[in-house]
Order: sequence, then C-alpha cells, then structure tokens
Amino acid sequence: MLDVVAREGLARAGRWDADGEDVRLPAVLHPDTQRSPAPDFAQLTISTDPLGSAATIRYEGTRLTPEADETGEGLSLPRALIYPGGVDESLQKAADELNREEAPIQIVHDPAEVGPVTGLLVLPRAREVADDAWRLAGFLTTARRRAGPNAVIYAPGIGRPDQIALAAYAGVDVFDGLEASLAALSDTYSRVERPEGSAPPEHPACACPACRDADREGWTLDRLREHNRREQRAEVRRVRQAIADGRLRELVEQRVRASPAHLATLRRLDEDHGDLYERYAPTVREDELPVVGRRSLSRPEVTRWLDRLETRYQAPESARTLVALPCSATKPYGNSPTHQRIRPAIKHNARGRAHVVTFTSPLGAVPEELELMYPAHRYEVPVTGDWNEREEQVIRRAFEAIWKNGGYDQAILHVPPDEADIVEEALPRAERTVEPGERPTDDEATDRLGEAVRASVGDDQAIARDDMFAEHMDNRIDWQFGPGVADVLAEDTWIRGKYPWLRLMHGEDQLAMIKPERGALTLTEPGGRRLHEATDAYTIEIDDFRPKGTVFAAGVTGASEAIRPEDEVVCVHEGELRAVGRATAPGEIMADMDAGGCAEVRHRG
Amino acid sequence: MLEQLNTAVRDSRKLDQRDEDPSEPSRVWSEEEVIDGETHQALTVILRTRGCTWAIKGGCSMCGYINDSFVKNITADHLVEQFETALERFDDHTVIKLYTSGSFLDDTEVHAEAQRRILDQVPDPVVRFQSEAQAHHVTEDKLEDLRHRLPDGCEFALGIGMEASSDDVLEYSVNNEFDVADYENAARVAEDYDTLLKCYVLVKPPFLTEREAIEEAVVTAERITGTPALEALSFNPISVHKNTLVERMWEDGDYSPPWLWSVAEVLTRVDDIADTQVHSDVVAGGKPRGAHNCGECDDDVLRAIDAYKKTGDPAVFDRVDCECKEIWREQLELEGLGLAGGSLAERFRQAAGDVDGSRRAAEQWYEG
Ligand code: SF4
Ligand SMILES: [Zn+2]
Ligand SMILES: [Zn+2]
Repeated sequence: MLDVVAREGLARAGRWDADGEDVRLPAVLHPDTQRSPAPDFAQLTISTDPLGSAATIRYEGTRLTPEADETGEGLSLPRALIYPGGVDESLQKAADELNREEAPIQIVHDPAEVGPVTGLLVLPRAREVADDAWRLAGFLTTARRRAGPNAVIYAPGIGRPDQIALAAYAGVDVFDGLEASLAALSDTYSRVERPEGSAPPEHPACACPACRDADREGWTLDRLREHNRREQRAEVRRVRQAIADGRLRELVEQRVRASPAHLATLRRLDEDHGDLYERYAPTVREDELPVVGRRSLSRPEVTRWLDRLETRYQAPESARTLVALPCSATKPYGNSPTHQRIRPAIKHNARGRAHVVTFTSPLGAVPEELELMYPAHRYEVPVTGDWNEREEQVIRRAFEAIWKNGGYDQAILHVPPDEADIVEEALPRAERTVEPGERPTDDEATDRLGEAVRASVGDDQAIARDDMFAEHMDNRIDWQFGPGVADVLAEDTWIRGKYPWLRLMHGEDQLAMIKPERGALTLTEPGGRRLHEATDAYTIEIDDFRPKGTVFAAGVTGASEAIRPEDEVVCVHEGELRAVGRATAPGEIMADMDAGGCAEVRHRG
Repeated sequence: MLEQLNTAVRDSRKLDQRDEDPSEPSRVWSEEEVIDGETHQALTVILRTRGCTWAIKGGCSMCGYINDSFVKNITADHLVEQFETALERFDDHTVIKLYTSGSFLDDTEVHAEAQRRILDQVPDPVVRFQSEAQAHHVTEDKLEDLRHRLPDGCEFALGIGMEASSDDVLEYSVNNEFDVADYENAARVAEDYDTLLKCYVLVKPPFLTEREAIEEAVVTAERITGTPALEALSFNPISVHKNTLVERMWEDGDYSPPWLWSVAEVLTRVDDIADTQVHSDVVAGGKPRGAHNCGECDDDVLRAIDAYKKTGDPAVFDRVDCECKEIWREQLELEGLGLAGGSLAERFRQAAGDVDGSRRAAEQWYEG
C-alpha cells in the first residue's frame, strides 16, 4: 500500500508499505553485499543474501534463472530478461513480452509497454537514458502516466545527487544507491552541484562523518562510499521536504543549472509534457510563487494562466476601455503604491467602463478582477522591464486574448513607451499616455491618463459599484470553474463585504466567499449545490456514504479530469450532493488510486 | 528460439557472398600438438565452405566466422580439391585438424560426398583426425557412414560448441541451434562409434552479468562432465568478432569481454568438479576485444592460464594478483543488483582504468 501525503509535479512524498517495512518515499534502493553492506540508514535494499532489517528485494540465483521462491511472497525479484537498448530495441520489446508474467515486482524496458502497476515497477532502461536529455523526459513521464498512481517507480542508474530532484519531479520514487558505490570505485567524490563530481578533496567542506575522518586521516574507499551515500541521502531528504513544502519546482530549477542536459530535460518536460504537469499543478497556493529564472516562465501554473486567458476568459460586460498599467513588485497590484497613484485617475472617471489590465511577465497580463487569483496574487519576479522575446510574445498573446474576448472600443497604454511597443500591435485602437522620459506615476502622465479615459468613455455612465462587483465576480467564477458557470452560480445574487473579503449571497444565504490568501472562491453547501447544477467538471463521484474530513480514494468511483489539486469540488453519489470541499489530488488519477486522500470536505450535503 | 534475437544477430552480419577461389583452402599451417604428453606435428586446415548453415539463418550471437567463409558456388569436388591441396603440405604429420568455420558433419555445408572422400584420403600415419560439428549432426547414420573411413588406429575427435547449458542462456543469449539434450545424444552416439568429443563452453555470452557468466560456465561444466566420450572441456572467453551482435553491443558500451580473473575463476572451480581435461584458449587476450584485465596484470594471468593448460594445477592462479582484482570482486557482487541490460559492466571497467572503455564513455558523453 502506498500513502501519498504530498505531491508536486509527478513527484510524491509518502509512505510505502514494502512487504511489512515502512519506506519513506522518495527513497534510495541500496545494494547490500558482503563487501559493501548497505548503510544503517537504508530503508530499502537489494541483496542476494539478505541480512539487514530494511525492506529487501531478494535477488536469488541469477536474473535469468532465479531460484524459485517457494512462498511466492515478499519482494522477490522475478525471472526477468534485461536487454540493453542500444543494439536493437526489438530485443527489449521481446523481453517485455516474456517478463509480463504476474509478479510482485515488474520489470519493463519500454515505458509504452507499462500497464497499471500496484507495487514496484523497475525500469532497467533508465540507466541508458539517464543522461539523454532527448529521451529522459518522455521516458519517465510516460512510465508514470501509464503505471498509474499506485506504482512505486524504481529507476536503476538514476541516483547521482544532481539527478534526483529532476527525476523525482518526473515521477521517480526510488533512486539507485549503486551510483554512490560506483562513483566511489571510480575515485569520484559526489557533489550535488556537480554532475561529474570531483576528486576527493583533501579538506572537504562537507561535515559528514566520512569527510571528518578523511580530513584527519585521508581517504579510503569506504569513506568515499560513505560520503557519496550521505550526499545522495541528503538530496533525497531535501527533495522529500521540498515536495511537502510545495517547493520542488524551485529546487529543480536550481539543480538543472548544473548541467545543460538537465536543463534540456526540464525543457522537454515543460514543452512536451506541459499538459500533464498542468493537470497535476495546484490552482491555489497560499505562499508566493517564486519566478526566478527562464525555466520559471514555463512552469505549469504560468502556462495555465495564458491558456485560461485564451479559453476561459471574457472581459467584464461593461468594460469599454482597456487600460494597460505597468507591473509592480507588490501584489496584488491593487495594493501597490504605483497602482495606488495611478488608479484613481481611472476609477473616478469611469468605474466599470475602464478596465485595468496589468502588463506583466511571466503571466502576460492580469485583468483587475483576477488580481487575487493564484499565481497572480503573489508571485515574486524581478521587475526589470527587460523582457526577452519569449516573454514579449506571451504578453502580446495575453493582451490579444483579452481584447478579443471583450467588447472594448479602445485601449489606453499607460506603460513606458518600450512596453507600449510590445503590445500595441495586439490592440487595434491604442493610445499612449506615457511620454518618453516620463514615469507612469508622474503627474503629467496620470493627468493625461485621466483625460484619455474620460474621452474614451465619453457618454457612457460609470456603472454602479455593485454592478461592477457582480461583473467581476462572474469573471472569477468562470475563471475558476469554466465559462457559463457564473450564469447558474451567481444567478439572483448580490455581493456582500468590502474588497477583497467578498461574499456571494443569495438572499441571506452565502454561496461563496473570497479568502484573500487563497484568491479563489470557497464554496458553501448551497454554493456547491449550484456548482453541481451548473457543471460536472468539478465533481467527484463517491460511494454511498456521508463524507467527513478526508475523502479517501477507496470511496471514490470517478472524478472529473478537469479537477486540479486545490480546486473547489463537490462530492456526489448518484446525482445527490454529499459534500463540498477542496481537491487534494488531480482528478484524473482519483478513481485509480488505491489509497490516499482525494479531497478535504467542509460541508456535508 | 527467440525470433527477435535471431533477427538482431542476422542483422549484425554482413552477408556478402565472397568470390574466392573455391579450390584453395582458406588457410593451412603446421603446429605442434601435445597429446598425452607426446608432441605431435599437426597439419591444420581451414576449409573454405559456403559457411555455417546456422549462421546464414542468424546464428550464434558471438560468432563471426561466417564473415570469412561465406563463399559462392562451392561443390563437393571443390572441397575435396581443397583438402588435396592442403595434403600437398603433408610431411611428418601425425595429426590432422580440419575446420570449416561451421559443422563438418552438416551435409548442407560440406556435401556428404565430400565428407566421405576427405576421410578416405586421410594418410595412414595419422593417429588423430580432429574436426568440429554441431551436436545434432552427430548421428548414428553419419558416424556409421564416416567413422570406418579413417585409417586403423586413428582417433576421431569432434569439437562441439555447446557454449552454455541453461535453456534460457542458450535461447536468450547465445541463440544456439541445439541444446544439452542434443549434446547428450551426440555423446552416446560418439561413444558407440569410438569418437571423442571436446566440448566448448563460452565464458560470458552477451546479456549476462560477469557473475552470471561464471556461474553459467561452471554449471555447464557440471552438466557435461559426466557425459560419455568426453575428452576435454575447453572454455572460450568471448572475443569480439567483427560484424556480430556482440560487436555492436561492445561498440555501444553494452558488452565487455570477460575479465581474465573470471576465466581463472572458472578454470579453478571446474578443475575441482571435472573428471576430464580442462583448459582455455584465450583469443585476443589482454586486448580490448578479448578477455582482459586492467592492462597491468594481463600478461601474468594469461601466462597462468597457459601454465594451467600444461600442468593442470590450478594453484598457478593463486600466484597472480593485482589491484584490479578488487574492482572485479566488487563487480561480481554488485553488477546484478544494478538491474541493467549491459552498460553497467563498463562502469566497473572504467573504475579499473580500462582505457578503451573510458574512451567510449567519453565519446558518449560528448555525443549526449
Ligand atoms: S558458433 Fe558454430 S554453430 Fe554458431 S554460428 Fe558460429 S559456426 Fe555456426
Ligand atoms: Zn561528506
Ligand atoms: Zn590488474
């Protein structure tokens, strides 16, 4: 059984019951031999001669002709052909056919041949593709997708400290401890920041026991092996922690800088498998999203933003003038001093008619009513005003989408002229209100902005505050749950509260509220009822029970594929609402999961 | 037979039929041969044939003989003529060794008529005629037809490439055409017809770990040693032949020839269990394509293997040692646990400073 307590990307942190022993994932599989016994901290070993107390994969006889394990229990390695792939991939295909007998441990060369697995899946070919940026991303992603959520994936040959974060992100649960021994045999001192390692340093900076001894008495094979194992272990623990903290992506982005091959692999993951990673990425996070390097521009939360602008977004009904404002370091933008100096010129003249859209990277553009949404509400990015071509392209696409999906008459570009250059072509009728040499906050510029807004809005009356709030609420609902949902969820409602603590009310019944730290709407039970009426896209089908607290996979019979972790969902049994809550796993794997939580529910139907 | 393996083996070959003089033998030379402590002059002849029938269909994964013997339009007359040409060099010889790079008893490769006419011409002073065959060609009919043609008192010895004994290894690694049961049949027939067998066993067919390879060689010796007609167990560490599956794997870093330590280990362990002659002919020993160690100790171990052949005393192996033996021991313990298809052996080779292995790895690094 596998109990996943946290996920990020395709990585999972949790516990795996391996033949009665508790193994914390991600883990390392240590070879355990007479000459180099597994370290005492090993939780999982492979051995021809099991002695220790860790969970052990028994390797008896030889691989081709293992000695029969009479009990048929435990983690015995099955008879398996393992062929190298360099010569002829048809050999591996043939081996996969022959290896396919039911076994507690499955050995599969070709990820495309992997079927749903419960238990350990060994990918012997991982060793061959470990440093092959063109193949690794597809290899690991395909294996995880096909093996499903109950498989514990072991990638032999992947275990160098620098590889671990990236491979975990791509779905590997168990890493190869042999790599630490092999490096030691080659007189290589492992370093997480250097894929090739180095010669053992005379005075190591590392504080592990082996390094302390080596500092005094010099290096031996045993000391080198021990350091390498500790370096590997430290990284596995960091990865485990990062998954629990929702910070694995940051660690991965940091690690891939050590090697062009890793960088290329991450790029392949983002570009070729971005859809899958998007489905696994949470839609809400309460802390900020650090966007630090070029790779951050492709993280799933970022690409999802642009995708939703293009597919889910419709500008507010009354908006006639699109006002582009510059980005600021403070988020949400409404709180930023820059915006606070500029926005009055707009609001006073044309509430609800002039629509503020912030020009930014990497999200491209943030319409004012979505400022609280993750990740717009809090992401950290160095605001340099220096955009690369790709960022410019994203910004243009974002503005184009907003313009097309709105009924605007005009655009006002209240951004520095070089930024106006970037979006101008996406906005057919655009006027600039910041002169060269001016800052957008300069009085002359804001005065000019006020004039331009007044002129563009013309005879259209500013709309009532409540109406504007309602339009904005509709937009948030459709952004969160898909186009058209607001028509049902917000029908016959009014907004209570002071921005950003807004509540969606039907009479005196509260349907939903915005918690600023989450940004997204949180539903009440009546709100959930309306969501269920409006769409099936956020529904988890459950068995006949009344959920309380955690909804476990065992009770889930189906779930919509649109559900992302952290989405608001309803739990339904045969059309009857049973609970409202928040998803804790991607919808597409819920029905397949054997164990673990799928949702946390608040209200029972 | 595993079809995909057979196809991969066949695809590795360059099966261009050669246009060579069909009446000339491929090679002829004289050498000394010690039999029961007595030194004989041996005339060794390699016949030029159409090639091993099995190799033309696919064949054994390590064998590249077909590259040199796939000759066009060979008739029975040609084969007899080749033997006659070779006999022109017959002098004070008492042993004839006749090889075909295939199976001398295979009628498809060597016409039955040619087999007969060749044996009919073996000169009288010859006390031993040695050739090679596949086990399933050693039949009663065949020996009934041939055995009596040799001069009186002339031994008939056949080398048979059993190679391994586990069905899995024969099927999934060597791609041998026959199995141990076929060999045992051949042995019974050979005994009935006063024929001696020399059984060839591979050391390290492809896809096996170093340790599996040692175990397989020893297990094979265990199974064969009690069979009738057995004269010798000969261990052949693989050497990487051109245009073979093994060569393609080797070029990819997916195959490493065995360590000489493994050969020594096999001989030591087999010496203990076998009740016949045991030896090993190491082809390309100490070279990248043959069984080798770190480069420092190769000559010492090769000498020990030679000394063992002469003395039959496995203690010669206790007297050689080298730092690389530690790496080899680590490999025996660890390689299988790495669950790899082949490339892992290369890592141990590099750790032992195997320059050839390191070069390939470096190339791969830059290509990747
Ligand atoms: S080893 Fe013998 S049987 Fe096998 S292909 Fe070569 S010549 Fe033919
Ligand atoms: Zn250390
Ligand atoms: Zn050596």
